[in-house]
Amino acid sequence: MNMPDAQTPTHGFELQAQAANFVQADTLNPVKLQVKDLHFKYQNGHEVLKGVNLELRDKTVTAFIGPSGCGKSTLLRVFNRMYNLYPGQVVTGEVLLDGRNILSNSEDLNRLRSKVGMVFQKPTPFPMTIYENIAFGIRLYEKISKAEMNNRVESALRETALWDEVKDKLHQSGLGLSGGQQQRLCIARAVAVKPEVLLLDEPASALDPISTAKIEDLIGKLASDYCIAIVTHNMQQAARTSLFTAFMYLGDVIEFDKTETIFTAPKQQRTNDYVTGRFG
Amino acid sequence: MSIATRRYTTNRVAIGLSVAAAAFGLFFLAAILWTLFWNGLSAMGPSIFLKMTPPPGSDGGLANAIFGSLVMTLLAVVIATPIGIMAGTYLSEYSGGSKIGEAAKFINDVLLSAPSIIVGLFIYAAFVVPFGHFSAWSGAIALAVIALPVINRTTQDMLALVPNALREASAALGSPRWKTMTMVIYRSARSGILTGVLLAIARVSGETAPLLFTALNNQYWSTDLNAPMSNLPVVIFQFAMSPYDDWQRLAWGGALIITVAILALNIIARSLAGRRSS
Repeated sequence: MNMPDAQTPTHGFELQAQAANFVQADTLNPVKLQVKDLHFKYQNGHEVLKGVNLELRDKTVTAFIGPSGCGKSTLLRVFNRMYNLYPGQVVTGEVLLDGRNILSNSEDLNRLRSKVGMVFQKPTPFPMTIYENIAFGIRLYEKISKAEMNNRVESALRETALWDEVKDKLHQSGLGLSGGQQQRLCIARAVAVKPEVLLLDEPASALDPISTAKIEDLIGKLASDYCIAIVTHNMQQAARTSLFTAFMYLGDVIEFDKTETIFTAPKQQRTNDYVTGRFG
Repeated sequence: MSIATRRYTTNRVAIGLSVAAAAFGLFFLAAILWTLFWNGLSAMGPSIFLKMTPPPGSDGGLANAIFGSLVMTLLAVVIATPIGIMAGTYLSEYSGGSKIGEAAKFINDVLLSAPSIIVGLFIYAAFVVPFGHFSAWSGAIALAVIALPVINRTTQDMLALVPNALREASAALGSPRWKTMTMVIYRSARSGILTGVLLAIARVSGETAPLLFTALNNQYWSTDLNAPMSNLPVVIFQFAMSPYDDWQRLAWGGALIITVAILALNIIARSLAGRRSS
């Protein structure tokens, strides 16, 4: 099974055919997010993504690895159209969420982002209490009673293993937490709105090893409920947390396969060089 | 002389000069405060807050001037704060490097350092002449024009300090932009913006020139905003220039009151700014 390289861009149907091979091997979840011939460039002509084709499966973790500037973060920021916050970018191709193209002009971006949550590299708690940090997102799209809100906040904090650490200080500022706790608060905030897809942009790269381990545990737990895409510079982290891995280089997906295959028997020389630390 | 000794000596000389420069500046500040307290405290007492400005040679206080200053400063802040914060928000968050935005920022910075007497003359021509009389309203508007660029600029600076990551994090939850602004970004910049408003109050409460042409002065207790109104800076100006001892003593008292009020505002603003950074 040959995966696409830079010279021969594949199309969606070919990938689907390849994915069909996977299904025979062991049962995979259905496709949640499908990317077809995605190009991303700035108005000055610099092309960051050069025809990306891949798919993210539901309730599965997909990791994106590659050297800095390869376009993996940009790809993630297309999935919730975060790039639309800034002017001067041209995106072509299709990104299908449950078969619906989210790149269409009629897409309601706020609705989309409530379904495709994102966690950033640096923890970004809002300047409000821990409770309000989580309630803020829920209130945007749901009108629920105080008791129900308490339940939702508690379950989001339990889901991210933060409840025991913060249950006595729910009404203190979220800024008073440690870096690792702040990042789990941000993940709790993202899952509290019940998204379908969760985008994690280097979620542990600003944290110490113990906090990193906690975040990775958390990703493992969340994988049973969400379609998760994680960008990471840490290859062990990709290997530990994901089922699929995409190796990207200079705006192309060089190789996209099961994580095990990428790290033990990659088909492309460049993938092999990268995962063995010979470049990047 | 070894390198280490030379560096040590250079270090000592540089620090010595810096300390001398700081002491030189602080000496005048201390001298001003000392003179104010020395001369002003003798005028202090209940009567300065309760009695009206007197004719020369008779007993009196500054009640009408203190009241007038409070009213006009308050009005000016009520007028300038919403306009300043909204303008600063637009220029920092929404104008996005457009030509009109950049021009407005530049003009605001020019206004920030405009001589206050020019502002007074402008309001005189725009409000006092058409209505045919001096009034508290025109005084308040003149003060508002001075406070506006201060509040505008501080709002811009404080919003620029809010990291973009916070805007993205809020947007990533599906929050519309206005909600991100009002619920997250303002909250993050709140104490900074409030500091700007307090500093604007401190700035306008000592202004004399704009009030000379607008509110003028009033010997009597007046609450009519359409009539001339007494105020501390103009009373100080008038009384301090007079040959009468009792008027001069009242001028010292008024100067002390203004200084202490501005000092208090600055200390509050500082402690707010400090709390933000911690």
